[in-house]
Amino acid sequence: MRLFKKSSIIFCSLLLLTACVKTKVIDDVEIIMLYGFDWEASTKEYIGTGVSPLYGYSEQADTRENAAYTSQSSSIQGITSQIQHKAPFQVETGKLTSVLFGEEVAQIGISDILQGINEMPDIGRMLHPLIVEGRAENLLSEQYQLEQTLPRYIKSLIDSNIKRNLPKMTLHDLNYRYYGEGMDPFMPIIADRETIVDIVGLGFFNHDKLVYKTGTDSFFAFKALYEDSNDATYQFEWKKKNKSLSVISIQSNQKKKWVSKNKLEITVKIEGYIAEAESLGLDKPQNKRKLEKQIGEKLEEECSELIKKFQELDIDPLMIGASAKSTFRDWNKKEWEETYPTIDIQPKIYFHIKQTNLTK
Amino acid sequence: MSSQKRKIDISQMVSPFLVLYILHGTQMGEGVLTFTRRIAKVAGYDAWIGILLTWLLTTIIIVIVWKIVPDGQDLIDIHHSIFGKRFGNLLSLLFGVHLLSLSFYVMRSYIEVIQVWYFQDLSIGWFSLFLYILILYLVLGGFRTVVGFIFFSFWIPLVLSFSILIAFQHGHMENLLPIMNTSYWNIVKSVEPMATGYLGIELILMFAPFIHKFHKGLKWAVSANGLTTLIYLLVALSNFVYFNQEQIQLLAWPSLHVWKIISFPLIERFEYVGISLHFIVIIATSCIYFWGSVQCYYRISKVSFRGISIFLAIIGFISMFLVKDYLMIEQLSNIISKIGFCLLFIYIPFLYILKLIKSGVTKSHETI
Amino acid sequence: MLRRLWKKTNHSPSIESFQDLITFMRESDDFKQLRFGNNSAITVYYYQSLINTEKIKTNLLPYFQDLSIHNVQEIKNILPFDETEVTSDLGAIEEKILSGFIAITLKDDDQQVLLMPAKFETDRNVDMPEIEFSVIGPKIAFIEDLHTNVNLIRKRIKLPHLQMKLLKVGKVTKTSVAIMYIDGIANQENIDTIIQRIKDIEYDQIIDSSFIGQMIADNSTSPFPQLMDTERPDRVTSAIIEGKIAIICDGSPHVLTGPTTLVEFFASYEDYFLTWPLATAFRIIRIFAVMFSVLVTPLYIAVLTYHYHVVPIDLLGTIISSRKDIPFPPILEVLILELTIELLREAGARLPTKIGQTIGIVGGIVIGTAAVEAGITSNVLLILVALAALASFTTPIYRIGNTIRLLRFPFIILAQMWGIIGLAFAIMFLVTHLLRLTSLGRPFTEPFYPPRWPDLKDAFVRLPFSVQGKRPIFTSSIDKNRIQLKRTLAKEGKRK
Repeated sequence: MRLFKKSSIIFCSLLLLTACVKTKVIDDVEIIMLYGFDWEASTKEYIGTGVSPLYGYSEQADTRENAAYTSQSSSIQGITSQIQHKAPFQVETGKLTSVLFGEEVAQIGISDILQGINEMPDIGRMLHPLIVEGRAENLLSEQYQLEQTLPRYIKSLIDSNIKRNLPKMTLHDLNYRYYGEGMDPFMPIIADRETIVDIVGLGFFNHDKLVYKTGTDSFFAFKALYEDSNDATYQFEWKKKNKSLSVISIQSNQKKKWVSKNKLEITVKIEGYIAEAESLGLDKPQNKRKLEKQIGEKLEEECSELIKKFQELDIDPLMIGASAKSTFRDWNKKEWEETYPTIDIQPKIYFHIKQTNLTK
Repeated sequence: MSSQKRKIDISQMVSPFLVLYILHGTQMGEGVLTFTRRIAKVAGYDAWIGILLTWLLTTIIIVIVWKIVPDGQDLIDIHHSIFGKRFGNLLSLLFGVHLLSLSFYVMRSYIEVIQVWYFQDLSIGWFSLFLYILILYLVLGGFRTVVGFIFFSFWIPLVLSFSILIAFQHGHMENLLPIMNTSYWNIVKSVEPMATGYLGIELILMFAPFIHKFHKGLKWAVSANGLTTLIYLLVALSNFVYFNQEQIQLLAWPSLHVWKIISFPLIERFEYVGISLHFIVIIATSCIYFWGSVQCYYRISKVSFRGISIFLAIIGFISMFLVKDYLMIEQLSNIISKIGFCLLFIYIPFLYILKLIKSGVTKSHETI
Repeated sequence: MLRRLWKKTNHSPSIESFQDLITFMRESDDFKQLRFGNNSAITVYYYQSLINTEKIKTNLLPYFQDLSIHNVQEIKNILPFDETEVTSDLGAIEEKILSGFIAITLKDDDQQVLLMPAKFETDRNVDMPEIEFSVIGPKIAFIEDLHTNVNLIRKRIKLPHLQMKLLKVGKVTKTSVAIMYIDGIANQENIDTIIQRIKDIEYDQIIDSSFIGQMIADNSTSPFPQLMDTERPDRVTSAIIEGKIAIICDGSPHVLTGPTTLVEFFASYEDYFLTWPLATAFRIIRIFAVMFSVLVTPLYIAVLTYHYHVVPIDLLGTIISSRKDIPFPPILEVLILELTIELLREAGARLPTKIGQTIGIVGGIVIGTAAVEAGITSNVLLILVALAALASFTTPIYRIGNTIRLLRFPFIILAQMWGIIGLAFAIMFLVTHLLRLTSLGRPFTEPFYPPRWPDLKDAFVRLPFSVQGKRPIFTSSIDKNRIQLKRTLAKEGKRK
C-alpha cells in the first residue's frame, strides 16, 4: 500500500511536470521561413515581413499559399513580438531559410539586423542572406503561381544556382566576412518578376553597407576568382565568327599567389566543355588553342575590371586582405586598408576546352 | 577520525586498461565546448601549439601521479603518511570540495546550454532533481557502474568528433597561417585555460586502489591523455578554420556552432541531436567527480557511503539554485580553472617532492 | 513436510504411523485400497487419479497369484520394475504416494512399505516449438514432463560428465527441479549459487519455471529477465556446452539457463544454422529493430512537441498537413495509438488462435484507418506505431519482447517532459539500470561492459565457427577450450 502511494505521488508529479516547459507543437506554431527587412526613413524604424507557409489548407491545390505578416520596430526582437500580435499561433523562427534585405536597408547598413539574427539560437547557419531589388515587403506579400511554397521556392532557387554560377553565401559566410579582418561580404540580389522570383545580380558590401551591384553576366568572373566551382557555365561572345558559345560543366580552381607585398597573382585554372565543337572547327589543335586563349583573355579582362572596381570602392569580397594576413607576418589592419587600393592584382586565367561530340 | 575500509571489494575493482576510458571520460566534459574561445583569446590561432604543450606537461604529471601512488593506496593514505592524520584529513577535505564543485560546475554549465538552445523557460528545480536521482542511482551502483557509464559515454565524443570534420570542408585553412605569429610567452600562457580541459588527472589519486594491478595502468593513462589531446586538437583546428578570430570571441560555445551547419537527410539541424548526445558525456564526467568526492569523504569519516552520497546530492541540488546566470558560471569557471591549474602543476609535484624527502629521511634513518 | 504444515494449522490429526497416514489419506475419495492373497495378506494403496490402473491389472496382479510371501523385500525382488523401494520413512512414503506410486504392505508387517511406480502419464507428445519457431533446424520443443525434457537434453550430450541434480521446491506442489550442467565445464561457483538460491525458495507453489526464474533473479524488481528462458532443446544443449547451467522444472515446457547476458536475448538459435555473414546481418537488424521500436514514438513526440527545427523542410509539409485536423497534442495521440496496439496485442494473445488472427488483422486495418479518418491520429504516426510494434516482435525470446513493449512508455513520458534531452535522460537511466543488473552475480551487459573483446565474436555479430574455439569468458567455465577438451574427454589418441 505504501509503495502504491509512493508511486502514485511520483506519477502525479510527473503529470504536473508535463506542463513545465513551453511546448512548440509543430502544427500549432507559425513557422516563419522567410524574413524580409526594409527601412522606414520617416520613423527611422525597420519594417519586418515574415512569411510562413500555409500547410494543409492547400494541400490538394495546384499552388501553395503563404501568409505574410508585416510589422514595424527598431529591433528584430521587436519585430518578432509585433508579428506575434498578428499571427494566430506562436511565432517560431527556427526554420528560417532566407533573410531578405530591401535595397534601402542594405545601403543604410545591415549590422543591427545581423546582430539581432545572431542572437537567436534557434536559427540555423545555412540559410541564405539575399538582397531584394526594391522593397522586400513587396516581394514577400505578393502571391505567386508556384508549385512550392515561396520559402521553399527561393531556397531551391538559390541552392541550385550555387551549384552553378552563383558564389556560395550563407549566414555563416556572411558573419565570417562581416566580423573578420580583410574581407567584405556580398549577397545575391533577387527581384520580383511578376509571376516568379529571379536572381538578378550580386550586391557587394563595404563592411555592412551595400555599395556596388553587378548583373548576372559577371557571376562567372567573380565565382572563378572567388572559389572553386564544379558545374558552372560561361557564355562567350566569339566576335570573330559572330557566334555565341556556351561553355558548360566548367570546373575551375583558383589560387592566390603573392609575388611581392604589393603584387598578387590570382591563378585560375578552368576546364569546360563546348558542345558544338566540330562545327566550330575545333578538331584542329591550333584552332582550339586559339579559342582557349581568346576566352582566357576575355575572362581576364572581365576579372580585371571587377577587381579594379573593388579596389576603387575599397571593398574586399575576394578576401585578399585575409590572404595577405596569412602570408605576411607583420600584417596589420590599418596599414592594409591604406595600401589595398594600390596593390597590383593580376588575374591569370588558364582555359582548357574539353570536347564533347555526340554526333560526328 | 579513522579511515574506513582499506580493503576494496574485489567485485568493485576494474582492470587497468579501463583507466583509458575513465581518464578520457573525466577530461572530456564541458571544456570541449568552450576551450577554443578561451585559448584563442590568449594566444590567437597559434593556441593549438599550446594544446601540444599542455599535453606534454600533463603527461609528465601523470607519470608523477604513478610515482606517488603505491599499489592499493589512495590520496587519503598519502596525505596521512606525509602530513599526519589531522592535517592530512584537512587537505583531503579540501580536495573533496574541489571534486564536488567540479562535478557541480560541469552539470550547471551544461544546463545553461540546454536553457539557451532548447528551453528558455526550463525550471532548474525539476531538472536537477532528475539529474541527481540519476547520479545517485549511478553512484550507489558502485565504482563499476560508474566506470561502465563512462565506458558507454566514451564512444559518443569519438563519434561526434567525426561530425566536426565538416568544418574543414567549409573552413578557411589559411586562418592558421602564419604559424607562430604570436609571442612564445602567449603560447605558454594558453596552458592555463587549456589545463581545465585536462582536469581529471587528479582523480586518479582517488580511484587508484580500485584498479587491478594499478602500476599497469600508466600506459593506458598516458594514451588516454593522448586521445584527449587528439580530440582537442581536432576540435580546436576545426573551430579555428571555421571561424575567424574576431568571430570566435563572440560565441559562447564555438564547438556547438559548428554543428549548426551539419544536416542529414532526416535530421536537418544536427546540433539538437548533438547537444543531447553530449549531455550523456557531461553526466558521465559529473558522475565520476561526484563519486570521487563521496569516496573522499567516506574514507575520512565514519558515515556510510550511501549516507554521504545522499547528503552531497542534496548539497548539489541546493547549490543549483544559487548559481543564477551565465556570468556567475563564467566566474565559477575561472576560479575552477585556476584551482585546477594549481592542483595539477603545483600541488601534485609538491606532493611528489615531499614524498621523496620523506622516503629519503626514513631510508637514511634505516641506514643509521 | 506436509504433515508439519498440517500440524501447525491444528486441523489435522497427528500422524505417527503408516496406519495414521492411510486413515488420513482415505478421507479423499480417490484414495483406493485393495487387498489380495490369502486372508488379504497383501494390501495395495494408491490414489486412483494418479495411477495407471491398467498397469496394476496387467503387471502387478499376476505376481500376486502364487503367494508365499513373507516380507515386502521378496515382492520387490520379483517385480520387474525400476524405482521400486522398500522403506519405513513416513515422509518418503507420503511423497511417493502423492507422486504416483503404489504402496504395498503385508498384513504381518505394516512398517515396511514397498513403493512401486505406476504413474498415469497425461503429458502430451513432444511437439514443434511454438514461440521460438525456426524455419531451418530441429523442430522440437520441450514439454511439461521433466523426464522427457531431461531425456531431450541427455540425448544430445553423450558425455558422462553431464550431471543432473534433482531438488524439490514448493511447500505444497513439491515440484521436482532438475539442474543440469557438465562437470568440468560449468563453473562450480555458478552451480553452487543456483542450487543455493533454489534451496532458499520459500513458497507454496512452483507451477512453472518462470516462478523459479523470478525468485532466484538477482534483481527481482527489474523488468529485464535475468535468466534465459527457452523451449528449444538445441538451445539449452548448446548453452550447457558453453558452460551454462540449465534449470528444468517439472510441469514447465520452458527451461531456464544461466548465467546470461543481454545480447543473448537478441540471438535467435536459427543464427547458428545460417552462414555467419547472414546471421550477423540478421542480428544487427534485430538490434536496430529493437532500438527503433523503443525510440521511434518518443522521438516523434520529442520532435513534434519541441524540436520542429530538426525536421527537414521537405518533410515539414507532410507532417504538418497530416496533423492539421488532429485536436490532440502529440503525446495524447501517441498514447491513444500505443494503447490501441497494446490492446490488440493483448486480445490477440488471449483469444483462440483462429479468432486471434482475425482480430489482429481486423483491428490493425480497420481501427487504424478509421482512427486516421476520424482525425484522432495522423497517418504518419500510424505507420510509425505499426512499425514499432512489428519491430518489437523480432526479438527471438518472448520474455524480452514483453520488456521492450513496456520500456517505451517511460521514454514517452520523459520525451514529453524535456524533448530530446528527456530521451537522453531515459537512455541514461536505462543504461545505468542495465549496468547495475547481474545474472547469477555476473555482469548482465557483458561483453560490452566489462569489455571482453573475445566474447564479441558471438554478440552483435556471429563469427564463423572456426573462430569460436574458446568458450565465452563470462561463464567462467573451467575448460575454456572448445576443440581440445582437457577435462571432460579422455584422450583417444592423436587427432589430426
